[in-house]
Amino acid sequence: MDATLLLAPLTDQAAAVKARTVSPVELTRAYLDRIERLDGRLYSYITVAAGVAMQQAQAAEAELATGRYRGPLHGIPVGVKDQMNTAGILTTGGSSMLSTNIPTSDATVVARLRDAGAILLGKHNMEEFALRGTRVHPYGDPRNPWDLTRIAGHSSSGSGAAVAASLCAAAIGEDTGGSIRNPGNVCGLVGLRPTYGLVSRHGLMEGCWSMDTASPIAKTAADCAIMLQAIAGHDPADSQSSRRPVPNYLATLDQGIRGLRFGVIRELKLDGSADPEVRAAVDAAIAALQGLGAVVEEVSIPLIDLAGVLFVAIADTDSAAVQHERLRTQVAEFDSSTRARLLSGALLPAGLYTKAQRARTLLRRQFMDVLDRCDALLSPMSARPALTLEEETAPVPTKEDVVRRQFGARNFTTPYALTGLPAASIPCGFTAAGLPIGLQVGAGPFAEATILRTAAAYQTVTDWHTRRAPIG
Amino acid sequence: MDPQPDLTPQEIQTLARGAGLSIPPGDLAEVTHRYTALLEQLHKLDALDLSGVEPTAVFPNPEA
Repeated sequence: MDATLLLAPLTDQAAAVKARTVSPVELTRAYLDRIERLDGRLYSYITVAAGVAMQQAQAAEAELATGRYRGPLHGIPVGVKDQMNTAGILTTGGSSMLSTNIPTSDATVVARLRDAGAILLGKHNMEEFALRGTRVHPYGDPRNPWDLTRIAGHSSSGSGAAVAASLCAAAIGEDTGGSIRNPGNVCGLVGLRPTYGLVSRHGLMEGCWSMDTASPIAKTAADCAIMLQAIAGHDPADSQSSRRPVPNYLATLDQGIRGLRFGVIRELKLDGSADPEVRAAVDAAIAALQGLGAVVEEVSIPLIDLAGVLFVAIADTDSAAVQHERLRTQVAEFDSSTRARLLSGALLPAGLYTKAQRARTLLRRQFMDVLDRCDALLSPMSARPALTLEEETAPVPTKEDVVRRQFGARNFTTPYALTGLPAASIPCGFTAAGLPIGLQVGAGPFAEATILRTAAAYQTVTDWHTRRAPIG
Repeated sequence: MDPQPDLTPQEIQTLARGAGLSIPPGDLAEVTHRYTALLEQLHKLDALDLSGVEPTAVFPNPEA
């Protein structure tokens, strides 16, 4: 097998499997070899399910030999964040407290990947209980394949690292406040948070019930569309699951964006304190979309300035409730950052929590007002490229430091989580040091097709998505 | 409204005990920074007119 196929988009691998020029067994074995060779430097996997993967690959190969083709994920090796239950396979949530937890059933998204014919290579590393800021990961600190001294994003860090290093074809992570878009941003990938309710939460370890969303991350818009297609759709096991029919995302991918109206969010425009290379790349990306025929205007969503604070007030309080018993009886076993975050969230007065939820309603209204006249919204993913591990895990010495690092930095991604709206990170450049830069594209409820179409159109005039991390 | 003085680490520990929790001594400073920063920032919501605005966690779509 040509080893460069592992570096190619999922769509290329799917075409090769369908044409029978490569077999699922060859592909799976090649990925397992690559993981064995490289993951000691990346820590992107907590569990490599080699035995399960080879069994599934042999089954896929046998089925393909009979002429049955399930679709573009048939025989394709993927990974899932260790937040999703997998029957018979260790599922830790990134916590040492769950180091022997073996579920007896699959999360719905895992079952749907299997039904689509995908091969499960293993479980991806993550921040503890999907809470950003983990200082010491019990299964190793995930590294960014573009620069091993830097983080791979949070909290689906292992998924971002694994896809960027071609240690799987694509992955399913999870996004509560930005946890798929952040890894997408700093690893040079397309990470899409779907509309709340589009993808089942059944079997997903709970963080904040009203924002948790299983989410795909992949090298290209088409790869991401294929992954989303496999996992989207109603699930009676999730009380919040939408009954809305799921569109064919690939069918509209190449329609272009001529005439679409894009709003550039004023409150998220980068000022002089931002990294100048990030600013320039985002500005250039917006200009490129204009060049493709989109109509661009500036819009204002004033409450975005408080989104990070609202998110922490709601998500940390909900997460603390989920973890209350462990906080009471096993508090020393949490990572120090997770512990401080949860203990702080546990103390918030109910009146302030409710006030934050009222403000959340207002934020949604402000978004929907703007989306009445815009098809999609644009912003940077962050003000800086990937932080170093030291920067990310530094102590929090003052109240002012909390405001800057814990609230302000979250204003980019949390507005979509708070409002249940879809958004994606799209690779839009690199710094001179070779670090990826991301553009965020958001849209109205269930408008994932618009986001993917925008990403696909942008890919026709840029080559950022074709670059590969300098590892391996 | 005048800003409230920050809670002290000892007051935060007392609050935690009321919630059935105990903050390890080594974490008390960080929890205090995080908690007082959150309270301070949430007071910005006082400037919003939230009368008649219901608290909402999820936003069902009419077509969903």
